Amino acid sequence: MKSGDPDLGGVFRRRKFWPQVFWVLLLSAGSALSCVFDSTPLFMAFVLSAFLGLTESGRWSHKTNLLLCTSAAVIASVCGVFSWFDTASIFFLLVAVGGFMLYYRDSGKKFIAAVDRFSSEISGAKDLDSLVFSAAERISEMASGDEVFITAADKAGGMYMPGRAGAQGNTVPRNGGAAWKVFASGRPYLTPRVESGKDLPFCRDARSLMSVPLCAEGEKIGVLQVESMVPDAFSEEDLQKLELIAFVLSHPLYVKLSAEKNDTDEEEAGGK
Amino acid sequence: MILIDMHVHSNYSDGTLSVGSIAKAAKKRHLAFISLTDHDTTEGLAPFMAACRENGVEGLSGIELSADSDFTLHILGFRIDPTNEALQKRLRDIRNNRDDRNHKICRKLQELGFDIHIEDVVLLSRGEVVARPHIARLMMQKGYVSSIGQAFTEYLGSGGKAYVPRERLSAEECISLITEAGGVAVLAHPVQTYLGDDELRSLLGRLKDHGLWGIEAIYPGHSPEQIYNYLKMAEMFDLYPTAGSDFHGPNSHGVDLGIAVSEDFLPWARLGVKI
Repeated sequence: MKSGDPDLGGVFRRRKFWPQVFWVLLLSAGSALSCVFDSTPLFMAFVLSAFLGLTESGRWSHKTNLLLCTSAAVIASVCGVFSWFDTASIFFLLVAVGGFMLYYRDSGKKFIAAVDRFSSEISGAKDLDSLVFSAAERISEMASGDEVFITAADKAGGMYMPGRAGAQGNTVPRNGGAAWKVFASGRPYLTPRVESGKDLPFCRDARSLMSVPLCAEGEKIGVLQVESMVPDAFSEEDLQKLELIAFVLSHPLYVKLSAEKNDTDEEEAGGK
Repeated sequence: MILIDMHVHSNYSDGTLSVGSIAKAAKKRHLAFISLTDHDTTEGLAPFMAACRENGVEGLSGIELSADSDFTLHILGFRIDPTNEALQKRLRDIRNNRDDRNHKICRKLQELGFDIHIEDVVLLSRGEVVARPHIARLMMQKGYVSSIGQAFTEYLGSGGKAYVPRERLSAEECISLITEAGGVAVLAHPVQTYLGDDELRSLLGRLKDHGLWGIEAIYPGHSPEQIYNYLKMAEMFDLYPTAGSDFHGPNSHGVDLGIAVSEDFLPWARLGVKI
């Protein structure tokens, strides 16, 4: 990645429970250690790290994180380890850091830069397979390693996975799963808890998924589906972002699918 | 992810819900914050903020001003001071012009043979800001037209038999009023301008020079392609993308309160919002 390029990782906010637990444990351990060594600077370092970590892992609200970190300082003061002046200093430090973050963080402005980077990285793909491979890899990077599946419509009205085994790739069976529902309806789909019998994810162990249609020139050309092994991994906001990524992917995919279709038609005509 | 709504109308303009019901609905849907943006009026802001406090919802003061243009051009203002004298004076002028216009429309309809009187329209509006939809509703109730759409197409809309043009502020004046009232100005639902990309870029360039702060990129009526384009334009002109539903009440087709955005989607502190 060139310096200054937007980072693709973390475009989709993983809603995991464990990072929160980690930061709370760090806060508890840090508070205990600070009490043992009777060190206010050490406590400040731990509480600040925990506050930033909790805010970035993003499952609880800003106010909850502030309350949690301040509570640790209050408990330390009640136990008589720190003075109330120290606690007040920590509280004002956290409010200042939190205020700074609320004043300057503006991911709404930055998201488009990540999408542009995705667009430029997939634009160099030579053929359909490399485009699908490259796009799936980039989207997986954005979704912190989740499984990404790109299906394309075939001439017979079915769907297949380009870049997979076989000349025509893996055919997607018409089983009424999430991908087919999205392809047929043309509407995005998000499920926090996959029902294996109903949603029929591509990955057997998927616990949550989001799926959006790929459309270009008024045609449905396929489906983009992201599956996670974690339940409740995606939000409505992630689905909106995936729709924008699908929009960016649709046009190059349409061009490559058309080129491949023309090649196949020519081969068939030559064969006759 | 949080749910927010930066574009909501109450029955102080053309919405159907009271400010209290909106605050309750926002609480029910767990909105992180909600902004009331009634058309050309700030009258609902004080009761709205009180209702928000009562329901434990974060409220943001707002307004939607209609700018003079050949196309639909609305400017949203957030974080405005509703007591600002200059803003209130201009809003009073707008309301007076609107009342004057309603009288003229009713007179024209009477000349066309319809039994439409301003007193009946005011009664029908039940305290809301009287506007053309109320006249259209009365025409429908009296059986002169079969739908509100027909009333607008044949009589009340631009080119209609009883159409009276409205005096409006220029877009630049709207932005100045909002910024002078301590607020930030945002171009509302750019899709409704029906401008091409080049024309919209030129409009944004012009408005940015006059202090435009943002563009309502996330809006239920925008397709993914349009959202992408508006986000690109926001980046190009260094504008903040905002998100609003333009909720007018339960009768708004398919539009519900709240839009999902990330916790750091906008620098909330600059809007005076505590999330």
